[in-house]
Amino acid sequence: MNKIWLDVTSILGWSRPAVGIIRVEAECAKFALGHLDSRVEFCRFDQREGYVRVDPSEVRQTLDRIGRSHQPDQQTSVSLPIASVAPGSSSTVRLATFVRSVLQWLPQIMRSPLHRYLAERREAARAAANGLRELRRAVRAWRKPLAHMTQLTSSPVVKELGLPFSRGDVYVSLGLDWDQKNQTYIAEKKYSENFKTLLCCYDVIPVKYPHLCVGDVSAKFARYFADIAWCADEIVCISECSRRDLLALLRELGAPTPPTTVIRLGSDLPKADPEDVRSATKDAAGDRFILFVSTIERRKNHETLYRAYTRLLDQGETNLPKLVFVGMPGWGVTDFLADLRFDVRVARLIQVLTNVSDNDLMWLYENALFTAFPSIYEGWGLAVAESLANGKFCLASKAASIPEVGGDLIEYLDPWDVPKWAERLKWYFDHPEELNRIEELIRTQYVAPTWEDTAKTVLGRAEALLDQQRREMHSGVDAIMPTTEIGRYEEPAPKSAAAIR
Amino acid sequence: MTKPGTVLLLSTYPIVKPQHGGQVRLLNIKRAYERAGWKVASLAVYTEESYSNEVGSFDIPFPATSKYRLFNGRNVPLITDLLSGPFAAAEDGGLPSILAQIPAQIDVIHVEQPWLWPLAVELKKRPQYASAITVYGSQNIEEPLKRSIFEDYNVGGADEVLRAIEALERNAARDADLTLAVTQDDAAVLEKWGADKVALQPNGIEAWHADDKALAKWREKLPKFPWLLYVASAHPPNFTRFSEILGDSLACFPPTSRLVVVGSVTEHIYRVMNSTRWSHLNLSRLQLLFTLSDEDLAAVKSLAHGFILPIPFGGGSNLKTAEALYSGSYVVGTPAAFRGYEDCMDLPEVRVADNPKSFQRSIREVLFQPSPPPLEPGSQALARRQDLRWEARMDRLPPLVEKLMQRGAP
Repeated sequence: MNKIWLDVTSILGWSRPAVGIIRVEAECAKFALGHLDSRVEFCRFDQREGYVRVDPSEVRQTLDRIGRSHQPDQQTSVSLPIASVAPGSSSTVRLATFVRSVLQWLPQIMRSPLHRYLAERREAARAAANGLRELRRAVRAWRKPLAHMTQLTSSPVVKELGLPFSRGDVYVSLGLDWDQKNQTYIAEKKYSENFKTLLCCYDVIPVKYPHLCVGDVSAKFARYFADIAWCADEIVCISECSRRDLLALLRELGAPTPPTTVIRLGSDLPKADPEDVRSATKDAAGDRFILFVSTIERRKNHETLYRAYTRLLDQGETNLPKLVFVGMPGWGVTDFLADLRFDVRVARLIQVLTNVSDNDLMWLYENALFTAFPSIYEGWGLAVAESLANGKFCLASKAASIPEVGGDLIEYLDPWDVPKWAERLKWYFDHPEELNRIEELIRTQYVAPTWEDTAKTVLGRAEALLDQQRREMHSGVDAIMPTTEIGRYEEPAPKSAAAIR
Repeated sequence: MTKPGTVLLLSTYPIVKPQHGGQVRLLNIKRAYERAGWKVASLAVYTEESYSNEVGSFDIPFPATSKYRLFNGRNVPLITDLLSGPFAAAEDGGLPSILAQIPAQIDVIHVEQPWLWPLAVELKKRPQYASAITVYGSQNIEEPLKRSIFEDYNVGGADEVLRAIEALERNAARDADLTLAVTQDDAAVLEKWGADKVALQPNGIEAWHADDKALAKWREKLPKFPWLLYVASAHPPNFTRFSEILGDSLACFPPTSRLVVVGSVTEHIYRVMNSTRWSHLNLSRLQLLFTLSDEDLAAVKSLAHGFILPIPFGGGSNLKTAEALYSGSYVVGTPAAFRGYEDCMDLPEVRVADNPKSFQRSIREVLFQPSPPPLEPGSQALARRQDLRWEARMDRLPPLVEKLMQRGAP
């Protein structure tokens, strides 16, 4: 019997709370475990070994570990959680991981100051590492001027690695594939072994807005998307916007356009247990607050909320609710975080919470006046969905996929229009009865997609590919060719996904 | 029938070790004359910085420090070909050396490309050469080609140069006893300029045979999945619009395949594709082989699933087009690439793409087609390809010249 192979490489190497992509892989794995029959198997990819079967018990342990991984002691501080090093990670990442591992062994009294000392010098360390790297490159280029082309003189040699898939199987990968997988290997094996592949596109932001991402990722991700276009029999996209962006990119690149399906990510989280909510969370939020749940990075545009708040303060507003940011600081926000630290106007008004447990997060959603989401661009907009799932209104950016999430139930603004954000925030602060009315609408009209639905849709698409493969094999079609009509440029009609509500 | 005599071939490149298309064509012209019983003296006035090795006994360098390297006192890039004519014809340039070594008796002066036409004119002023028949071998209509190159390299203020080139071409066409064109379009232009007798003499190819050892070696080195080949020289039209023609992206090649690049164009292709927005992707689809020996090149050409011909402009016809067509493999090319081979555009393995999307689509399509079947002996398909060989094409030239001599031209 042919099988569905669910790749769990990303969650196996993860030890922080499951967010974003990790959550999708974890939820699909969880669903597969709960509904495990002989048709679903798990696998991981290793650059040296290739694909290796993973026992379901190992997947269970991994999901348990991730579920227990938040670090409440470090809440409200900028923490550096330990992540395992993915194969092929850069030397900088490996060094950082090593330093964190070493710090873990030190007593708390030494760890915290040393941790702070190193964290403050992260930029300096990065610059020094880049300097050394450039120097090494210069020396090499000086000694062998054409060496940079040497790697281009050989053919794509793919080492013979492990592959447990059989002819007719379906391989599903939803993880951090651009870092962890080898698409050339998948493409080669797919044609020689004749299995089908279901891959995922979360967004094409690194290509579309590279300036909002770390380093020069545009070129790297363009290759990744072109490669998966050649590997995939179907690509699931997490929004219509992502699907449109992906197809537009593939057309621009001249890559094939495989069939695509839009899936909706789950936004269900268990109810908060008020007894378990930590006092630090309650104290930070206070009695009256609005909430913005997101990694703190340039693209998420925390700055608009900060500026809207300072604008209201400068206009003489005195009774503003607290603004609570929940999320880890990411790239490109050093100056912004410094503003928050030094701007006395918002010193007690804006709170940053990191490493918040699911229970605390639910409590924050349940007790917030409403939520805000001024992101510049999104592949989906999970925080908007979670806000609605918790019955809360969201004042959101109108960019990209976000209106797909909230439909007509919430209000959308231009993410850059700070005066408008200030005006509408103030209006909602002053009209709690309107918030109550909208919350009632949300309760009656919004049906929160569950993670189980997401997993069902994904595995349903895999089942469909399995059937397709079976039909092709029975009809004698040896489908070593891409499923996609490779000469086609027309945008394919979107497939209806049964689970989309 | 007139007895074959002596022909002087004039060019701006040696043909001892031909690399680019112009050299290959001229070498085959020389061979055709020789096969017909002519004595051939080949004289190149070559730029010393480009062809320092492998020059013939009559060839003379055009020094980098010569005052003739300036055009009306100005330093204009990319026109050493144009400047070599005045140098070769000048008493204080190359003329004394040339007169000292060329044969005393010359029956035909064959000027390949118009650049050394001033030298032919100068030689004809000498009584001993006054009765020689002149043949102008046009490889392109040079003025528009040079204009395009100037545009690509942002060479401004060169109108005077372009006018000089056109005047030179017109003079050669008008005054030559026989003018050779490589395409019907070029022939029409040359006739319009007053050429009396224009003969169509398209480019051809050198048949190649790959030995088993070389084939085995390259099978190991090249992708296991179908791949396409681009063979070209460093002639600017071969790379200046390369990226544009391919839509700035090589994503039309699967990650298992490659665009294999051979010839002196290689380094330019690397540079061009490395500077595109999608550089990481593009470089991942290239396999660069640089210049190969004839044995290796024959093996690589024999193993290719297909050829690409991303030629944006230029008159004349491309030798690499003839080679690609001769191979029997798939050929994806721009309309300009098939100039001179229009009669082959209906071959089943040929794809003509007039825009980047179409070019990418054709590449994707041919990479997933099974290899074309081998050409059957005696088949029409094979015969059409045999006609592409240099021997078949160039052996028509000496009889034309002999006919002119018979008539007593000039």
